[in-house]
Amino acid sequence: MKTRRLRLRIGASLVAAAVAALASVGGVSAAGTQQATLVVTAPATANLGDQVTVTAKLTSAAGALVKETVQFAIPTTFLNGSGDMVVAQAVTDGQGQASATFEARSTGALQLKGVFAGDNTYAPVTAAASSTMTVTGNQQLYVPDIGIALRGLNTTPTGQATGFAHWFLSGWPIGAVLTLIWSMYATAVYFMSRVVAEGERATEVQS
Amino acid sequence: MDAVSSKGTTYTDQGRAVPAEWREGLENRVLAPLAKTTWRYFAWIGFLLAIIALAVVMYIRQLNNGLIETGMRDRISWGLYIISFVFFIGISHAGTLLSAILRVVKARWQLPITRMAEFITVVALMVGALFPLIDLGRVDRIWNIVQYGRWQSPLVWDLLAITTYLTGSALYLYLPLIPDFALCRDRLGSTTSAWKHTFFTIAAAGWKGTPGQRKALDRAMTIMMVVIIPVAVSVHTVVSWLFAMTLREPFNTTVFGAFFVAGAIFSGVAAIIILMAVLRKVLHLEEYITKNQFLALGIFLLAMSFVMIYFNLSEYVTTGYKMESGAPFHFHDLMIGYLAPFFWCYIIGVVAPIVIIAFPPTRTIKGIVTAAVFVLVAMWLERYIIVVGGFRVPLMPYDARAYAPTFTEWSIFAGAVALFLLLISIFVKFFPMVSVWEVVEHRGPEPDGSEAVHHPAAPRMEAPVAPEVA
Repeated sequence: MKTRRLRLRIGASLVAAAVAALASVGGVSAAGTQQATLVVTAPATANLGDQVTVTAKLTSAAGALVKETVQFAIPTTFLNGSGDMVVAQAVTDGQGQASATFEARSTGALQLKGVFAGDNTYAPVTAAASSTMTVTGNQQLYVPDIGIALRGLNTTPTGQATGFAHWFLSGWPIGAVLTLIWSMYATAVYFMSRVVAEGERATEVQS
Repeated sequence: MDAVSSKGTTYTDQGRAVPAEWREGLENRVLAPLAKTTWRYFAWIGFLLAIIALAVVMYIRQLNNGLIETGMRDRISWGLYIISFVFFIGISHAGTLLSAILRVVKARWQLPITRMAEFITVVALMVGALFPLIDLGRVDRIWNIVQYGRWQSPLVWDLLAITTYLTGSALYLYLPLIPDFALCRDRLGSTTSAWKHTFFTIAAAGWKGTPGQRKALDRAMTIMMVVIIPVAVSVHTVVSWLFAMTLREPFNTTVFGAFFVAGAIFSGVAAIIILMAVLRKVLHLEEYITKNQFLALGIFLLAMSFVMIYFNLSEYVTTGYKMESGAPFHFHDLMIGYLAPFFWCYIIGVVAPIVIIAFPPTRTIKGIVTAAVFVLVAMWLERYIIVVGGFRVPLMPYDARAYAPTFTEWSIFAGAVALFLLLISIFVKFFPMVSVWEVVEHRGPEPDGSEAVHHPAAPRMEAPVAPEVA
């Protein structure tokens, strides 16, 4: 009988452990009931491609919440769907302050949000930044990572030349090869013109 | 020796006798198609124009409705147009390259076929260069590549390489034509229309065969034959880089440049053999284009088969050994999957020249032409495998998509083939298909007369023979 009870206890413990493990793997946390307060701060303006620093302060009635993860998200539209896209996350310090940096990759007035997922004690909380962040600019964001930069071959000498010189210098090896080839074509055409000239001379001699 | 003269026996630069009768026969035979046109020719031209008209209609439809008219979608965004582009540029490769190399090494056997080879290059380039434009949904934006193109872009390299090669090939085609244009001007006088005569007179550039003219022409040709070789190699290398510099697993191979150049020579030689056989038959050039030329090109085709097998092994063994992400899917696709019928037909086509040409019983003109047809089809399939196979490997977790060209794409492809044949057909009526002056000066009659089929004398031209020029 004792053996059977022991087996039942062990079985119940194993089931409880498995449920707890599954909940943990699935990212489900037991949400607490106490209320936390989140204040999110973002710069009012930024240039496209800039590294933007955003901060959040997580507090409760008991004081600052320490070592809690805060995520930062911006509203995004992709194909037919839209929603919040997490762009950065940080852990709160001793003062409940979390600070993170992300690259502004889309323009317009962005309403940044802070998300605290909650824990065993505190309930989840989401807060918008006090003001929208306006991102401006239209430059190309994708910059290929060049192992060895060879000016004129895979990089452009910006700011060193203008007009035709800039255009030519930005790809001089290709330009040089093309110039050589087309010069040889021109030489062949010159000799072709000699054929015409020699023909005219022969006609004059004959007449 | 004067190319226009037809009096008395002359000698080639190798000391071989060229009887006046043989020379006159050659001139008459080569010039005959320029003077006489039958109803069959016009019927053939009409047939080709009908196919081209259908292609134009379908292209206008594509312009109106967009690329949704094609089988290309976001997952497989390169299709029959890019396959055809690589195919035609490949065909263009061998003509001028082969002609230039053989001229540089002063080979003589190829002289009767250089004109055809060079013309294949120019025509195939003209047709092939159309495909990137056709592949654009908004063709009016092509100017952007000129206005905003960057030197660092493979697309700009491609534009520059093809333009440079087309210009060089056209020049290289024209230069040896000058003495032959003079021949047409002097021999075809009253047998051809006035405007055609005017054309020959202008194109002949006042050629009289004087020593000064010969020297100038020789220098121009020497420059072009030297410069055109690296240009030809660069063109197909750049075409290969369009693939090799695209982030697709099957394109991640270092041999792509050399592989594409070899493939281009392979398909180009096959195209020359087929065109040579057709024109030899249609223009009755059997006496001048003999089995010797077919044998030489056939052996070259055989050698290129081994080169292609080597490159295929080199590519598949190295990428297959590592089996990086995407490679297992691609190999499955090729060997037993979606592309397996194309792949195994391609392999058969590559091996065909070895089976046919290596053995004497089938090493005949018919056998060599058959092998060339196998090669041409195989090389089209190879481009299909490269393009479609490359884009089928999923970049994200989605099911691989199938690609099938639509009627619009097939119509435009058929139109391009018809345009290729049309340009050759028109060329036959305006330009001598054999470089008469070079054959007379540097080669002469077949040394042993082997396999030469002698036809009844070609119809004599009514125009008087041009006077001797001192």
